[in-house]
Amino acid sequence: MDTPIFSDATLDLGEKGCGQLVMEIMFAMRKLAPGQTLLVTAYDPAAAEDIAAWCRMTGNTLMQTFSSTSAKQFLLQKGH
Amino acid sequence: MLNNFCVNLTHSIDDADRATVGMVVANAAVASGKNTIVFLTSEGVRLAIKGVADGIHEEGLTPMAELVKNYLAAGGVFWVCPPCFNKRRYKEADLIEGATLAGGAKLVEFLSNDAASVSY
Repeated sequence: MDTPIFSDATLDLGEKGCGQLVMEIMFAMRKLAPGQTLLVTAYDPAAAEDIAAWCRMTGNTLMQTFSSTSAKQFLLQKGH
Repeated sequence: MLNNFCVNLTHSIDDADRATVGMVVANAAVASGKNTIVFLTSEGVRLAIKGVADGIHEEGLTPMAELVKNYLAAGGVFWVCPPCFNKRRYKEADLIEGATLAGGAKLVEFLSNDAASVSY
């Protein structure tokens, strides 16, 4: 049985990738306060690399990655 | 890490695929916190004209109007090459919000200040 993942907000990106993927994440993170978390679901095969790079550039933290059959989930924490 | 990023975009309605991909990368740059400009040259200048983006939608890619809207909302700007703009007989009143005429010297200054650049 899957363990529930707790986050302050969620974002399902569907098939979005590349620039749209990080743009949607940026807009979602703008709504959060520092320290709050965002759970991102993405199907784009390059999402893991792009989200990790985006976090490194923007001072946010990629706390954890979860994989299922097709989608991946990423737990991000907003930086201070 | 460099914080200035330029996308030199030379296409619009003449090559929707290339123009769209250029704007996708510009979206990635501005969403990643980079001080981002899209420098529009040649046929690319048409992208800064009111209503043009609405007519560009390459199959399988995000509609251009959505890319432009998000890019501007995130803080991106368009610099439009004056000779390319004038050659096509546009007027400044034709420009979308967020687009300004900016020539070669301004671009060179921007790129000389620790900027990265890609061209489409």
